[in-house]
Amino acid sequence: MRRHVEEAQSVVAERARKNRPVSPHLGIYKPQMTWVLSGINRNTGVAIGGGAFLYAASFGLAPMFGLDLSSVAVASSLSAMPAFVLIGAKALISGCLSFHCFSGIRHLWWDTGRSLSNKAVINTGYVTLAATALATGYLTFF
Amino acid sequence: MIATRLVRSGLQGSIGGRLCARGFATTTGVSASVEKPADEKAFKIYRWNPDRPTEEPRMQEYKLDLSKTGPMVLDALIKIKNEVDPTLTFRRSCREGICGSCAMNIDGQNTLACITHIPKSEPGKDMVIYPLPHMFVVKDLVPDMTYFYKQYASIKPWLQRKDTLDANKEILQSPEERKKLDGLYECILCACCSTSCPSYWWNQDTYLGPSVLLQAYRWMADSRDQQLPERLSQMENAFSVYRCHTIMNCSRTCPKHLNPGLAIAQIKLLLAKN
Amino acid sequence: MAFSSGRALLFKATGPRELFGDEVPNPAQVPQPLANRLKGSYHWMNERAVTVISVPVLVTAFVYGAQPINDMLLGIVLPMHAYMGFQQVLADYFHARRWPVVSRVLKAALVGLTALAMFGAWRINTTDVGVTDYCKRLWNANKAKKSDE
Repeated sequence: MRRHVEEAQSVVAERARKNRPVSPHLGIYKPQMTWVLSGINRNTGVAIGGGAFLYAASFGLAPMFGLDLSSVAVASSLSAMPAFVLIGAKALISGCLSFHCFSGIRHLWWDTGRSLSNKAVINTGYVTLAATALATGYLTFF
Repeated sequence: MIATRLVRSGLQGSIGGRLCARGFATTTGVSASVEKPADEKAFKIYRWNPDRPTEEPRMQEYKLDLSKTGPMVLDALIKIKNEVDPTLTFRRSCREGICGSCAMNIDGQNTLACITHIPKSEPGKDMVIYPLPHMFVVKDLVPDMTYFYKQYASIKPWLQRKDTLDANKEILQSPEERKKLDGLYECILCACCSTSCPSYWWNQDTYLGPSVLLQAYRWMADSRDQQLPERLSQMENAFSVYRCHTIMNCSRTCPKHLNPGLAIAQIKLLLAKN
Repeated sequence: MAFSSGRALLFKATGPRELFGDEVPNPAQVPQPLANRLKGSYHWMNERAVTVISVPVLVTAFVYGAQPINDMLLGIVLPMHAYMGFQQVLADYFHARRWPVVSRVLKAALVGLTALAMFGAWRINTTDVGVTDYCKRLWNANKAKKSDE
């Protein structure tokens, strides 16, 4: 009798274990300076790296497909585009690039074991954001 | 011992706490209408029942009168379980932040329910409680910690000596050597930090996570331990420690105000130097 | 109670039983790969080295403008940095344990794309105006339009 109960219990337990949900994570975690900036760092890196990789690769392959990607040709076709598109693209690219650069310096500094207290992490986060804003403004408009 | 018990029973009655809460509630000037409790707050709590494994997890709302509830989130959970819904399941033990049982995600951040104050009730500001993030749920707020403990055991969290020891002789440490363990030995293994770490969310099968790595460093930093090279070579792979990308959610969320992120940075520096 | 006894508690060498009692968690399931410094600390140091080098290279390009040697370095160091960054992304989200085929395809694609990008940068340096001036021209395309009008 006892064996039957134990068997039945283990069957139920096994079924429950198989169906165990994973508790919610990214969607419910409070947005904080720590992981939000880390996420932006990764995403900007992927965006710039991916974009630059694809562009450089297509420059390398352009002669094979008879495309003209020379600086003169591309610059002149770009200048035919409306200003707001160009300004927008410049703001986006310089924003991603400058954030990733400043954030990268912050990470290198951390890797020496410095400024890893909660307060320092928050302060350097604000410094990174401010530097990014300034650099983006400068690169976009000057 | 008896004195301690008396103090404890006094606290458990939490007369002081209740008086405080009540006094606080009245000074906030919430108008006490007859039908509605003076200081009502809604708690939205994650529920999943293993007896009905095919049913999706859901959020259940409970309303409590804060003027009749203790000051901490754990007080609210216990009140719900005692008076509203006995099926609500959560872990708790010490109610003073030293056992680590009641670790959960409260209002988006991992912390211990027993040392987290319930913020005063504001309209539209409900308290949302989930289990520790990205863990297999046993029931409601109870996550499966089995693998976490296995990871803890895997770093051999005990003093390892190569020499045989005289059982009646202490291994002496200078005050400076002892000081290196401050901020490390206090960890209660509640797993708040590990389960706040996105790297641990995506790779917890291979990445040890901040909590276990803090303990790994605690034994690396111990002058009495003689297995530092072995402890370090255990980390020499792409996963055990190097999934850490210095996100720093761990140190931000630690309810004991320790710094696992710094400990991991120290491990990386030790690995680079050795 | 152990801690209230008058006798000093000696801190002796301990083991799993002293720590966990009879129920020692079995760490056998926790993977412990063979120690390999090329995947561990050396890899970490290489990443930092490439990142550290990329700082003066970028600063030179921004402050001093186009320099032939610096342009060559830009076309090598930055693709290496991006390659190592993408490797981390693959290790985090597309690891071989869960996606054995996908991870292998992506790893190969990454190697190919990195090589192509380095080739492209080399072509820009040798057949066009160089990486720095190339970017400058494209970047100032909107200004060129203004001066035309």
